Amino acid sequence: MTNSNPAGSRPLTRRDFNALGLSSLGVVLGAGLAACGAYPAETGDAYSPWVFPRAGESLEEGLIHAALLASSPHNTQPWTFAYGPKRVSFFVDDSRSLGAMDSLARERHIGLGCAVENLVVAAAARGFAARVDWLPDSATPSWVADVTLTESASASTSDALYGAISRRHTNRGAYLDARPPAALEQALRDQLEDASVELHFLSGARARDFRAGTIDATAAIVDDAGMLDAGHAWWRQTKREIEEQRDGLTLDASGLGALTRFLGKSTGRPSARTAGEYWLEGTRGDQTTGFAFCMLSTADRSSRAEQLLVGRAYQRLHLWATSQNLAFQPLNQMAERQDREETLGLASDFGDRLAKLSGQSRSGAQMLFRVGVPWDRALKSPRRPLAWVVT
Amino acid sequence: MTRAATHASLQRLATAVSCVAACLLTLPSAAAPPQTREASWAPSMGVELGYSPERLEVRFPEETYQEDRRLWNSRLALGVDGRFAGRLATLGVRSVSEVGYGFVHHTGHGLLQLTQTALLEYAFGGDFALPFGLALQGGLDTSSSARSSLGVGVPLGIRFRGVELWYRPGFVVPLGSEDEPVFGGERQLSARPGLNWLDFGLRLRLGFLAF
Repeated sequence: MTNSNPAGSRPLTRRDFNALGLSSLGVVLGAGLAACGAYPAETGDAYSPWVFPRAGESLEEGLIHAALLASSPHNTQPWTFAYGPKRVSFFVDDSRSLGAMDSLARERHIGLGCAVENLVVAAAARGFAARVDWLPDSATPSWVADVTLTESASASTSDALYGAISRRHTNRGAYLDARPPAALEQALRDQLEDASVELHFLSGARARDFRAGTIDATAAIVDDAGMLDAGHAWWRQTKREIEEQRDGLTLDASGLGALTRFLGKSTGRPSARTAGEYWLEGTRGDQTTGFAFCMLSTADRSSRAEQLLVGRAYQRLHLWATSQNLAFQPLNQMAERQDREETLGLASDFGDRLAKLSGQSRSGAQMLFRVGVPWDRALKSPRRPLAWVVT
Repeated sequence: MTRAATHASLQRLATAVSCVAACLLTLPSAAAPPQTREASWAPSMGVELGYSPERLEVRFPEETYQEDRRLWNSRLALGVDGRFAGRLATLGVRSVSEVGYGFVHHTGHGLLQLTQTALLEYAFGGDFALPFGLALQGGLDTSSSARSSLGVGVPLGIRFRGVELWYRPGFVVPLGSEDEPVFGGERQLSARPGLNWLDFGLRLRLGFLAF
């Protein structure tokens, strides 16, 4: 058996190999220690509500289950529900506030509107027509909607929309960056049922203005400690936090790559400033790619009823987009800054930009988002289960 | 079968595989009478880093969109490194067969890579050598086989004794694509066909385990 070295070089010796082995072991141990805080995505009870529909739930429980899978600002899930036979009441939970990030509680009410839409879609899929009474008692402002269900042969919804309820996730990753297909704008408009909500579809030069405005607004938020801290309070870093709270923003739902998420989990909770800088970097990059930007506006953006209607419209659009394998991501930074300017009595910068983008004399912009074809599928966000949200 | 016989069989098998690979680089002399081959086989291990190029294509009836991206991947590789004396004292022939496993950093997908490399090696300065040659490569995405690819690379490197640094630009051909309908069109995600200019690594030949 030959052991020659034709090229005349000395082979790696056992001693060399041992040294290399020890070095490698050190690297592996170091990586293992760093990985102590890491955990796999989408595992644990915090994600079990995404199993929908679930056997054994009553009609009303099944519909509330659909509702709690809706979009909400920063995944705050600012809702509670009460139900009786063929009736579900929606309440806004003011303790689940975004503080200075949503200083007029506008986004909170949009989130409630999203939950109502999920319930209405699920009810129709089960053969029930849902009558929605908005803000049924002016003496109880937290009671935002009352839904009455009646069996109806004519109640129907697209199976695709119902099927999309458990597949709909905000996708914060990169989208194909291209001009929109010609039919997209009209297809989105066709989903809107309420004339008081207007869709502004921004492509070309207006999309560039929107993108620049969103980046500027993000930078302004990162420089505003009040807003930054209020948003960061909803950051869930560890597996334990996610399981205990089952809400908020997580690394897995951030649209970042697998290795970045792994390292992020391993290195501990970032400061609000650090997280904000990552957010700004993402907004300058992947998070402003796509076919187009859209805005939903109404005549009076301070109207609770109109905020709720905008939420319904957004959720309907997102369900439809999910059924088409298109992705959505809310980009509300300009609207958040607009509210902040109003609250603090600052000169209107982002309010003016939004008014210009929507062609309105006074901005009624409520919900801003991007649409496109994603490179990667979105990961799920944690959800509070039915038992936690029913009073 | 005795241990010695097993080793002999393994050596013959490895020599045969290597000769086929080496012939790709030495075709003019292939018809000549077989040379005396003083061969040396040893296990090798390595760390590798490279790009996984991907293409997203969306086809609508009226228009087609296409976008590319390059994702980093890293692998650990185990292999068999065979060396043969060439006709010239300074020119050797090598065959390296490797199995690499790692992951694509962005997607977290597992990556199983099989590589067969045939190298000519120019020795200089005593312990140094400059290997160059041709490599065939299959890359299996273990989370989504539709993103797998085949590749042909042109490895270049520098070797000092049993330690080798290599760089391998190559050409990638996708083996499939992830397809799904999207808004009246079709979305396809696959390995990007074309040049992949970034793939490099460090390989150690475990000479003390030579057979």
